[in-house]
Amino acid sequence: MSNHDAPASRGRAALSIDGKQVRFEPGMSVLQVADAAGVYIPTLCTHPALPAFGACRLCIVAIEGMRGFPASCSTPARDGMVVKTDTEEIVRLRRAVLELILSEHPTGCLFCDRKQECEDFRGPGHLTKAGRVTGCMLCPNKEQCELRELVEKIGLDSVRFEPLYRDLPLERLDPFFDRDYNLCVLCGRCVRVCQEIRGVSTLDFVNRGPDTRVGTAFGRLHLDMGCQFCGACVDVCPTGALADRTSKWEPQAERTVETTCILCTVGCSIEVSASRDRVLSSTPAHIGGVNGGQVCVLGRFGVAELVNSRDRVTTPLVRKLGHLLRAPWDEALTLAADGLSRFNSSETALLYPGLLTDEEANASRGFARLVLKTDNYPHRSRPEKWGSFNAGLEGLSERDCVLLIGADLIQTHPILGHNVKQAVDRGAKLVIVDTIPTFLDKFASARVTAMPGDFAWAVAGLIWALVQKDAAARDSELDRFRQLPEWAFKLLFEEIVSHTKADKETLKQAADLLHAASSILVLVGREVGAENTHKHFNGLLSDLRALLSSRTQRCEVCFAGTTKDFDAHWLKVMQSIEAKRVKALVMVGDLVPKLSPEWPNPLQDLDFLVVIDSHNGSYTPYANVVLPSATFPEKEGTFTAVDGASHELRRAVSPKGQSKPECEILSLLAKAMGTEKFGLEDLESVGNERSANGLAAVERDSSLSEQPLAPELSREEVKCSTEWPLLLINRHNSYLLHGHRLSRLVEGIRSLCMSDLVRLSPRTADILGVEDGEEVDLVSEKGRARLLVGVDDQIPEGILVSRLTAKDPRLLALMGKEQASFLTNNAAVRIEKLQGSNDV
Amino acid sequence: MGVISTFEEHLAKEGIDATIIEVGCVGMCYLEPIVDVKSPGEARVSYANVTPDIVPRLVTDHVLRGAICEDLAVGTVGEPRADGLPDLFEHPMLKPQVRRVLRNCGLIDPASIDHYIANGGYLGIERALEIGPEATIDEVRRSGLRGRGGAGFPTFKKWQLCRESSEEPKYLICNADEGDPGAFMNRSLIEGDPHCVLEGMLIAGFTIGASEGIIYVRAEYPLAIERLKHAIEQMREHGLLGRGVMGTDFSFEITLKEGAGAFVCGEETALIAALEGRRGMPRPRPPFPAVSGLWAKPTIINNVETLGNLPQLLVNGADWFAEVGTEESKGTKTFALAGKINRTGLIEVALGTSIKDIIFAIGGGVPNDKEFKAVQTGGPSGGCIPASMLDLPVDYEALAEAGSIMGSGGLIVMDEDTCVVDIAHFFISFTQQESCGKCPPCRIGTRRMLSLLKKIKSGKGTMGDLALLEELAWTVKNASLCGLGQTAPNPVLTTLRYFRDEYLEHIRHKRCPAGVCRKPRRKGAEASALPRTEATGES
Repeated sequence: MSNHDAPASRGRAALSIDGKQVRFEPGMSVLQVADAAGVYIPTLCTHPALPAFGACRLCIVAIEGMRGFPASCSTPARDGMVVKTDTEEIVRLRRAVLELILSEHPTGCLFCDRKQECEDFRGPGHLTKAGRVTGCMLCPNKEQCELRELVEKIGLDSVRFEPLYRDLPLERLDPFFDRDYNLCVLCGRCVRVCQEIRGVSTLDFVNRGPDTRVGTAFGRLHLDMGCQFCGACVDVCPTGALADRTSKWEPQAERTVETTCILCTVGCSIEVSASRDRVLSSTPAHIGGVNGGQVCVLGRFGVAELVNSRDRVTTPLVRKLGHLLRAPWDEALTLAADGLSRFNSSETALLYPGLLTDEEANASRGFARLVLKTDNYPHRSRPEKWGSFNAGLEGLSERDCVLLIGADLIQTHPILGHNVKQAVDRGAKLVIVDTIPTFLDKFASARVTAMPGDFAWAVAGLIWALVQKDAAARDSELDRFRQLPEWAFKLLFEEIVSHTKADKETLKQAADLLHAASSILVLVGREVGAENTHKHFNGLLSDLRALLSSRTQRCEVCFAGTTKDFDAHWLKVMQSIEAKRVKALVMVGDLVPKLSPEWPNPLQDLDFLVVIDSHNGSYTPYANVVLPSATFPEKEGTFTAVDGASHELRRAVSPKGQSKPECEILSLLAKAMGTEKFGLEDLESVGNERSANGLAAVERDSSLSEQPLAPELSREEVKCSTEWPLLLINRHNSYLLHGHRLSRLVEGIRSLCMSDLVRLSPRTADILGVEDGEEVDLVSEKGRARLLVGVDDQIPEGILVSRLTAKDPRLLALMGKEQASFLTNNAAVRIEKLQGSNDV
Repeated sequence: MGVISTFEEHLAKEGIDATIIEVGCVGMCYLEPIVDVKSPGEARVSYANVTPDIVPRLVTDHVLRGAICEDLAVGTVGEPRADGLPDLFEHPMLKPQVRRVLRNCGLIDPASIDHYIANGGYLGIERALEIGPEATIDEVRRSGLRGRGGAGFPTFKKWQLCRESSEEPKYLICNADEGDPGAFMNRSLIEGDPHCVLEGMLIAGFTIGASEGIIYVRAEYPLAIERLKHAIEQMREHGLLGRGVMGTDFSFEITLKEGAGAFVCGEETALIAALEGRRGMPRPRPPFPAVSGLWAKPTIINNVETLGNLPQLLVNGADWFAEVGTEESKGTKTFALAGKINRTGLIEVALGTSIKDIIFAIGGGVPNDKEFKAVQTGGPSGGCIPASMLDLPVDYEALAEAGSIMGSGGLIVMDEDTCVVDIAHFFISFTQQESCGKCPPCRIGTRRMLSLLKKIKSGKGTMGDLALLEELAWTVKNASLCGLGQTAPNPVLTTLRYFRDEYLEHIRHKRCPAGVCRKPRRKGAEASALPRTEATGES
């Protein structure tokens, strides 16, 4: 017992459990105190991630001076309490309650007289129980069945009641996980994690009395209920009611490796479980990490499918006599090196994706500078931020105000969005500046609407309202406003209102919240980068920051997902290829838009193409050499997340087939091309050179007010007119990895994409005479695309919202290839009904 | 055509200018509809069981000619009296009552705040505002007022806990989610005298320091809702709500929230969950709502009747209040008489009155010369009190000792034709259906109890089933999360305690002494197991 005394002995207060004196910290529940003291109290509905619920009634105890049998999970520990956990009555009650629970749950495997044989056979690496034929394979929960432990600990060996089988159909119309509520014991963990932790509320208890069960409103699909498929419900389920579909029939894991998910830039800690050399599943790491035990759909369900995909390139391929054939590494490398060496440095280019480890990004840049000796490669300046910022729960929970500008975090950085929601739960105020409603709106204290191109005006509005609150600040702190006479200042507001559609009250309300906060985090999201940003945006943002910094203890600005500079460079490379200045290209990933009528084959004029990729992409068939690379659970490295924190990647399985990590491939290729100087120091010098060349200018803590975010590109402002009356906003679909659409590689993602849908308000649909589900043509000045109408009352009038991937051909058609990628997200369009459909 | 429209028609035909006032129930439900006819300067005569057929007679004889129809009249109300007619309140059903909360019911116009004020209304809040919250709590403490919702927790203690909390804002909730089958006390009070409850809310709100009051009322009470809404409007017009109530700096708002038909929402924490827009499910206490309730703020939830007691308590003082009642249970309590009883209706008696007095003196005994068998107090959460305990005084402690509870005041009388197993089965089927499903003892336990009762009812029960039923009852009572589950086995436990023989009769001899439980009839199953066993049992 002495070893258990240590953690509990810090507190001053003490209580007695079964005659044992235990010290505890204030705020602990009796159950937590007992746990810390090593006294076992059985429980089912309790979960470390969740607040006490008090439902399962297994953790009941007797406390002197308290009536009846309180649940220890929900009873706060108090000094001097006398707790008994195992009186005869309690033991009887517990057995009776567990018996009742099990009368609603299949018990064949729990009370089977050959249970031991089964246990012996189970175990890592083995296939699941053989009983698929014998029937005890009803339950897909291989390792975490908590009922097994409870039955052992409470010592139950039979149930006196006839079993109640709910006879509910297996629910498997939704992607990713199956739901068999016949196995559910109604502990409510999934409901609580969905409502209280994730704030989504897809799940709740439905019906009452004996018909109570877990489900969605009106029994609708999760897909229709706003489920984000984060899988948190699956991870907390103590039975096999909820089961990850891909790993359902996989053998038990031999090992789990904690690594970092790099499917977006948040840098979540995940645990990859593997058996032999196969990834079985990925789950959030239980503690620590920026994600605090939570993860998004990609991190939970995407990883295993990505790694195990049939589309993986597993051997090097070389083009011989017009055919791509398998080749050994040596031959492929030599061929690639020879091919690239034929061109002089200005004729070569390199494209690499954003989501690489630091080493790979460095190696890619280094390869371009040191081996190809070219300038034709994307320069990246991630992370962009002012001040230090910790995106983790700790970092966010210190904030009492978060300002999101054009940041639809649940789409772009799901876990960051989740962390903002957690901060709100802890009492932080959330202010949102955005064009269309986002998931986080329901947690916001103030919301300012800004049309595309008007984010700068919204920021100006906030400054205006802040200055209004404190007129003295105007003269002392704001250069930009200093020279303005009173009348001009008033006029400015008229202008702001006309641009932002925000009324004075909303702006004041937002300013009040910012004014009252002591620690503010400003997150500038992808939508700001994607729109035709007003040239003063950065300057105004800098002013806002200065204004807030002067009156709060902390105010940091962080750019989350603005890849504008990166994409601008990408576009430059593409233009060079089109202009035939570039003749040979090394492409890491699948970074060029899929073939489309607008852009038939952008790479057709290349003389030589080397593709380094983990999966088959649109251009692998056109490549001269394809070198197979590893996916992230197959490699090691470090990853710099959006908040600037470094995360470690650990290898869970070895690279599939003959694939190798990108670093290794690039260094082998460098060697084959005769460049010996490709070591760590050589690559670091490239990083310095990069900042010296002044192309990508944003560096840490520099004042941004003078500098543009990206090289200026001439673009016209999108204006609606009678000819093009509607504003189409594309919220880029983030299900992309190295240019590959994940909807192709991960089965379930396809159902989440809704990529054919253009959403509009019911009134707009009425005016246009289009109906939900109708196929229409969207026509812009640049071209046309066919999409399905989705009527959605969340969308403001006159606005169309689509969710296409950044390089979707339809998007290129509407917005023009010059503005492909994340550089723009809106266009003025009109809707044309299809020929033959009834015109209203 | 209804009584009112018939009256309107005939009055119009005769060209008589008369006002028809719809009042609440005076409590003599078995005599309803009751119509009081009063001409200027004449006696106010109550006619019982008025049907449209006799309306023309009342209009022509009484109204037009001033001739009281003595054969139809039950009594007169107030002064002047009429010759040959007793005072209505001398009626055997009304005479033994102590009408405090119900004093206005059936007598005043519930839609008129003036009627209420004219009968001493809003003097209670005036006094409370005068003496201040501390003195008000003290007054309530000295009066010994206990919660009328069932559990009987001292009202002042709850208030004090809430008042002492430094958290702001505080909320006052009026629990009008009356869900017990056969109970209609709150409904009658609200329909008959809504201002009395609202004044009680003002007093409670002022005392605990709340600025917002919410009435959680079941949606199945449309008339009560309508009258409350109307009364709240009137209060606002009279400066009794909003900023500066009665010219003081006390501000108060009252809003109405309609329940969605869940019995469990009468439980404090489930009610709060429902108010917050969540599923109505209870949570474990502590923390008690008085510490952390609605929106995690200190919240007091008082029953309609508790609040209805406050105005008179404040006006007349604690000593007056404590004049009636027992040592531990002071004041009066309303009861709804239902079931096999001659005078069904709503009554208010001093606490400590014996069951015998209530059922026989006030209720007029059991109809059709049947024998009184038992009475169920406290609805599905309460227990069955047998005929042998008729002298039991109704107070919180005595009822608890007998295995039942005071509950909110439903009394269901049973005669010899009632089978107690059937009654237990009825109440358990109610609670199992109304269980929120959160905790297994209540959700599964009550269901199991129901199936065992069903088995015993159908003559298939064994002694083992009876033992299992008792064990289950014990488990559900002790392991359940909230009051619903903890009290759900009471009907079974009390019937087992007082009528065990009847259960044994069902099990051993496969017969129901009251002749209620019948074997399940199945087509072509005449030669089922049951008759055979019966035969062996008889031989």
